[in-house]
Amino acid sequence: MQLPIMNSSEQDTGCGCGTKNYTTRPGITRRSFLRTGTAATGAIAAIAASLSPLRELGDSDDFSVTKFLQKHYKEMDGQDMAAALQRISNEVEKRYEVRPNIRDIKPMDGVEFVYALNLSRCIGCRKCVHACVAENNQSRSPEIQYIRVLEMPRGTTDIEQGNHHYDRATVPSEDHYYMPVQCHQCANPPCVKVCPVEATWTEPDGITVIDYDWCIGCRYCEAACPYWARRFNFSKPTIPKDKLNPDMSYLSNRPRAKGVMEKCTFCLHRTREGKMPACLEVCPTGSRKFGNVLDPSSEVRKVLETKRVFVLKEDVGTLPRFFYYFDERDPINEKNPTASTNGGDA
Amino acid sequence: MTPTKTSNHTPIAGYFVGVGFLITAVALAVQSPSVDIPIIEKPAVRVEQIVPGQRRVALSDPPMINIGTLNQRCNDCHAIFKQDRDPESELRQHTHVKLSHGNNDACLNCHDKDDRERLTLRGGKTVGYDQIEQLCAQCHGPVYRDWQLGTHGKTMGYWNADLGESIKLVCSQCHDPHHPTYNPIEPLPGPNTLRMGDQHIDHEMINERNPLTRWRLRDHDDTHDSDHGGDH
Repeated sequence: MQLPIMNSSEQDTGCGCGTKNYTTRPGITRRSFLRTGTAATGAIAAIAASLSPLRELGDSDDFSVTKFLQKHYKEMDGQDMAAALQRISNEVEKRYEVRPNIRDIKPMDGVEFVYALNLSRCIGCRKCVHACVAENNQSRSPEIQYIRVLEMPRGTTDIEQGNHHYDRATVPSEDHYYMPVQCHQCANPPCVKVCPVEATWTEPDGITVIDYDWCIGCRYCEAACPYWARRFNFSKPTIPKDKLNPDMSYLSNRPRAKGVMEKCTFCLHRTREGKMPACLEVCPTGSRKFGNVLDPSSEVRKVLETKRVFVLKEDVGTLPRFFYYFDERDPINEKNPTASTNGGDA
Repeated sequence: MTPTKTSNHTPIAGYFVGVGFLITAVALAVQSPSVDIPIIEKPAVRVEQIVPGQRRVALSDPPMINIGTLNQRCNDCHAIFKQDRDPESELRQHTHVKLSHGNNDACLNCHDKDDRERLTLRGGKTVGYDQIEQLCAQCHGPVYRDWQLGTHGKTMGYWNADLGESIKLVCSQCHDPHHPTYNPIEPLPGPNTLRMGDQHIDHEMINERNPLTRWRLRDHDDTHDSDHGGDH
């Protein structure tokens, strides 16, 4: 569309009576020009303003064209993955001044990971919670933690009565037992079913993972999880430079961006290389047991075979790979047999 | 006539839409899109509080103990000082040992009376300090059975023996044989969240437990953190 002002200047050589042109062209009047002009200017300004949050991306490493064009984890070939790892590595080095050892570790054949936790031994010291934060590069501010230690009154397994804000001088409390809850790596995971973009899935070794670059942050999975095991990065995660764990993998503990979900991956970057998860290594009571359930001699297999075992919220049908178990009462070790008998009804 | 009628209606709408867009644009451009997030001080977790590993250091085999500044073997002294029954009064040596092991309240129940570098089993046999689990198993049968299966105790290192060493801790690497029960310990700080049940929170706590709350990051050199060790 030609602007009227151009029209008038072309005609100006003749008589200088440009107004005549406006009247002869029925489509454009002064009023319609002002109206269209205001609306157009406003619309352009509004579009610019609506894009203005992108200004924040300018100085951050949250957005890059290569990241935007990156394929889904399952569609990446070796070259694509190498490029993605290189990009992530550069971003981490730029932001944290540490060169990470980042790799993509594939699951092992004949391995299915299972976790078992001894409720008779856990004392609720929360060392696992903070070892996990340190290992998996969770945001320190605002705080993100994968493990929640519930303080439960003796005599019930109703987790509605659990409290994870307990603040005691010392633990354990005589009247409570402690139940740490983290991702149960379900065999029938509701979080995977609800993901609209398939950014989360279960790996062959039983670990449910997230492609942080594919996640759109809709938080459906958080709502679907009956164990509240998924966490959302409401704002840009903060990790002090000297606290960053440079031992990383693509699917587990590489730094996350604002607006994506994250969760426990059984320390995939450790466990797929044969090591124990960080929460187990730090536990002062030996309550935590981890291993390959397909190996008949593994500790978790022995727990399942010889102990009284239960899963949390069995009725929701999620088939967790995380089991809780008890010791039978050992009369020699009981400090106060009468009190324990009363509490032992649980 | 009909077209002029419609054109009479549209101009007003056009102005409104345009002006509305402009106001929105100005508001968005001027106002910062970020929200005020409450900031609180939070006790930091010190690195040494989350060191993986065993709970205590067990005696080696043969056992060495520190006397003054020297590491001595038991028989360096006990080859000379023969004592074949439990002392009837207070200990004059080994005064750091406070025996609190239930009914098992005599030194020579476990320590061999002839060779102090060995442990005594029922029936006169002795074992070295590296086989202490056999001594404990004499009374703690079910726990010993569980430990053998791997359902009691702590196994660190590698779950896969092909890839690395699996470290299975023995009794005395967690339990003090003279005082096997644990004292209660201080828990590490809890989370900042509003979720989960009745929390008995007041209004100040609501800010603290806002999931968006940022806590002010302190200088993260460990000496500084240690100064705040009393906070938690």
